[in-house]
Amino acid sequence: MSFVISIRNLSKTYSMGEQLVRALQSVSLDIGHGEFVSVIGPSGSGKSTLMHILGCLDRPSNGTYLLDGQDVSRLSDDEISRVRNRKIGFVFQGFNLLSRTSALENVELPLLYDSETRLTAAERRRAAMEALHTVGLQGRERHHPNQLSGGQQQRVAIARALMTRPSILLADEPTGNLDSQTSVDVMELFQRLNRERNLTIVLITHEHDVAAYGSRIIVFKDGRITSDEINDKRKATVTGSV
Amino acid sequence: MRRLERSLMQAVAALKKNKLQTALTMIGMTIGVATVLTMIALGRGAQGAISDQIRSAGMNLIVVTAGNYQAPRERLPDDAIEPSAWHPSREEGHLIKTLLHAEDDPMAVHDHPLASQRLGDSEAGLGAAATLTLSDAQEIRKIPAVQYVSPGVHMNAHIEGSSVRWFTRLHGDDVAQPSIRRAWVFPHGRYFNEREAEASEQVVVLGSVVSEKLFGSADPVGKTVKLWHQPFKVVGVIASGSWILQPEAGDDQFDAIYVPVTTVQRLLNLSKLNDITITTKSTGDVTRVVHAIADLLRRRHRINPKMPDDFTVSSQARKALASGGLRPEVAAAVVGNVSGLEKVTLDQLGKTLDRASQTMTALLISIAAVSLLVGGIGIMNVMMLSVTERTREIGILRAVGATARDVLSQFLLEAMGLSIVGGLLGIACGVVTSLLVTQLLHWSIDLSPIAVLVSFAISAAVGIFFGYYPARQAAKALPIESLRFES
Repeated sequence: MSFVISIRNLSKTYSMGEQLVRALQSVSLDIGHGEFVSVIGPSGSGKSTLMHILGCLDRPSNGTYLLDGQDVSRLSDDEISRVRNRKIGFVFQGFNLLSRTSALENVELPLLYDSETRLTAAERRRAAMEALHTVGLQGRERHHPNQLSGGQQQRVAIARALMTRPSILLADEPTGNLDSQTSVDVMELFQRLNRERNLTIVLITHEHDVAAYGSRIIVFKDGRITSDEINDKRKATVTGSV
Repeated sequence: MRRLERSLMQAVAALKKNKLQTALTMIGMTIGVATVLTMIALGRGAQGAISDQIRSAGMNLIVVTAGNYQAPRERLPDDAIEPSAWHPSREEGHLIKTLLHAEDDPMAVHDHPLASQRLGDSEAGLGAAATLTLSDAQEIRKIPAVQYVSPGVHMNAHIEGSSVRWFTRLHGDDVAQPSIRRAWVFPHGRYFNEREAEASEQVVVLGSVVSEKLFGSADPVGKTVKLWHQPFKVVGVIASGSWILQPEAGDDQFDAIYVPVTTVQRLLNLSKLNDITITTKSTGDVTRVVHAIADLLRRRHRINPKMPDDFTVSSQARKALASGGLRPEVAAAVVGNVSGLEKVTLDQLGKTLDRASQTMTALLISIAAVSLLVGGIGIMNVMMLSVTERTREIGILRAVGATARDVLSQFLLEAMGLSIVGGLLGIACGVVTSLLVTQLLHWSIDLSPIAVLVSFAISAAVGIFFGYYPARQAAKALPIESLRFES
């Protein structure tokens, strides 16, 4: 079985003033195609750091990271930018949408920097519309982030993450800023994407409720994996569609 | 090409989106350029105005000097005593040496030519021929467009205070003299008045250098000094009202004393003048008045049409100065400030004006430098703030796959757009402000294309650099660092 993500002995060390913080201590992990992995752990356990490294937003201090069999730690900045664009969809806790920019334009953004497919403006627009439909935001295309609710903003972010049909969707506490009902909606959306598109998802959370949506649960503590199990009591989607 | 197109699109979109920031940055840019432009325009205008004033101060000045050094030799007047014709014998020479009397005492018995006689020397050249009289001056006064007329007799004289004696320049002048010399001020007293001149009273006005030599810093008004051993009452002190002319020992205006010309003529028993200084009401009248004076004097002096003038009318002595090795503007200033070249120490005035001109240039450069600095700092602040505030945005762009170059070209284009549009607006504002200042305050301005270009170029460079630099920092950093940035 070929893995989407394969990391070996990954470490990350920060210096906070005079103190060295070992955020990740020699972590090894394989994630296969179509898996929905929940990473759970208390804050400061290093799970966010792992996520940033997986998303190529940060670089590891040591170890190797193979994404689709490609060693990302050896790539140049431009190549990593392309990897971020083509292979990774990232959903943040704080949404990270461009303010004063419509939902549609936010969603289009990754296509703008996609130097391979070279879509025309009209094609980009159509693709963005489609993505917004997928996440259930038809009719909100022209709204700016400050005119949307938290749940809606997170859906825009998810639509944006899906635009370049990435190999993997990374979600960093995606429900952290949402109320419980909206959280359920968003989690069900993830689950549907995982099921219908066979999209590989890695999700970070500190809530067991949220982690329970995953097919595999990894527990993190003090920069190490303490448990890695298949979740057989997976939360079922209540409805067939969102 | 595609990147440029995309970046341009993104830049335009970003500028539209961030309307407030765009407006603020542009205003910063505009104000920066406008300030620099206006300051330079005003500075250059002031410099120009000062040199114009210096130049024009004497442009309406006409000086009629007795004699005509360009004409062939005149016939000697019957009463003239030629210095070359007077050869004292050995005994006489000895006598002169032993007695050694002051020739400036009109009551003394002289056995050599008196000042008054020397005034009649036809041999002495420019300014020393005895052809002009007070009634000539009276007639010139009647020519239309003539503003002031001042008949003058000039010589050197000893002036005696209570204990000090000072050898200085004596001007027998008209009451109009202060109006002609516009740069005079009176720290003490006044100029002699019409009544005193009419009655040829023994009053004297001291130049500030003379006053200093005789009385120190004390107020000499009302004190008595002696001239040709005669008592004269001091009525005032003259000082320079302009920083261009600083009183110095040996100069012609302030190391000098002024006495009514009538008094000089009465005491020295003179009837002739050295020169007549005339100003016209406007500079445009000068040529016409010069011709009118020449016609009038030829008629009054009954000069045969075939004969040359026995006087010289000069409205500007530029030709004489051109060969003097002075810079043109300095030469022009000298011409403007002196009524007769023979009366001034050119070197001294030239040096003073040179210094003044250098000071002015330095001042202008510092004004330009300071306003460029201030404008530049303003632009820098606004640019850095607005770009730094968008660090998170840069992080987002990087996270969705923008390369560092993508981000940089977008921000560079934004900064360029802002700087160029803001700069052009700044030029427009600066020009309008400058024009308003001239219109409303009547200050002179000088909009130089180079100043416009330089202020625009420097402001744009500052704007582009400080729009680019923080963006570069953010683009080069790891995306997560930009995303974590709290503005």
